[in-house]
Amino acid sequence: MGNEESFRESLRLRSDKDVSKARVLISQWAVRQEFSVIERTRAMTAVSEIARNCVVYAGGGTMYVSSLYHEGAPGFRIQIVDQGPGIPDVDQSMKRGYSTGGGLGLGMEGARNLCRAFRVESNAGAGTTITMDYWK
Amino acid sequence: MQNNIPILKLGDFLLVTIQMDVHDRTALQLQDDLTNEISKRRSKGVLIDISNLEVVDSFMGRVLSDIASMAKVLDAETVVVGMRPAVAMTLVELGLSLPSVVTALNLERGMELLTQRLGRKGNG
Ligand SMILES: Nc1ncnc2c1ncn2[C@@H]1O[C@H](COP(=O)(O)OP(=O)(O)OP(=O)(O)O)[C@@H](O)[C@H]1O
Ligand SMILES: [Mg+2]
Repeated sequence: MGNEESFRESLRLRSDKDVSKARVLISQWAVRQEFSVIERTRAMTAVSEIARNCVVYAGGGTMYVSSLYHEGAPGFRIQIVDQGPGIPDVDQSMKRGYSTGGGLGLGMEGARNLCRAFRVESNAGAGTTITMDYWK
Repeated sequence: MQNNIPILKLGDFLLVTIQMDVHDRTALQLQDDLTNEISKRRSKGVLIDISNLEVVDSFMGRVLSDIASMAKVLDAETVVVGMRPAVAMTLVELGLSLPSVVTALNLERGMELLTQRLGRKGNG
């Protein structure tokens, strides 16, 4: 499979079908890196939440997956990037129950609980990038 | 394109088997189709087998609980069967509790549960 360390994949996110493709792609990464079933399920679920947010609130974007090492432990980094309206108050958006879309407001906080490291970079009017790391 | 999810008749009940992955729109379509099927057939019970399903996120969780509530309005009971242990754990970590969704270990247990619940209802 060539040089694993520089391996990187991307996926365009435009619709609910792409959200499904995002889940499948992450499942393949987790299987390839021999993650446990529970860890694979966590990653697929977190990606599903964040990829759907990207489609629903930003009209789409791109997901990047690349391999990483955390203190010697192998894993992968997921980045979901959009050029949408941005999130004016990131802390508020992370709160359970906060939703501008009539949802349960679970996705962001839930996704954070389901990964090892979670980072949101967003500015009103300048899009959003969410980074989630997984390692063994 | 993903096909609609088939709804089968299983005795007096309806049975839906969900595949490994479901598009959001397919899940919403299932909700509509089930509503129609329950009222058309006057079904009293619905079994939803999710043993193949790999992810229940906030969207799918909401669809399952909406199906259960909608069925209740039409006087039908819903039992979700076969949830994978990893899915159950992830739901808890996600903070998604599905108070209106009744679950059973597998299809046989689900059938028993439905029969029991309906029997009780009939006698009461
Ligand atoms: N990519 C994004 N661009 C702009 N706003 C976003 C983005 N992602 C999330 N948000 C904002 O953050 C809020 C919280 O998101 P979260 O996923 O937690 O809840 P939700 O999508 O509203 O509901 P749920 O995920 O439970 O269905 C959203 O309602 C939206 O206002
Ligand atoms: Mg969301």
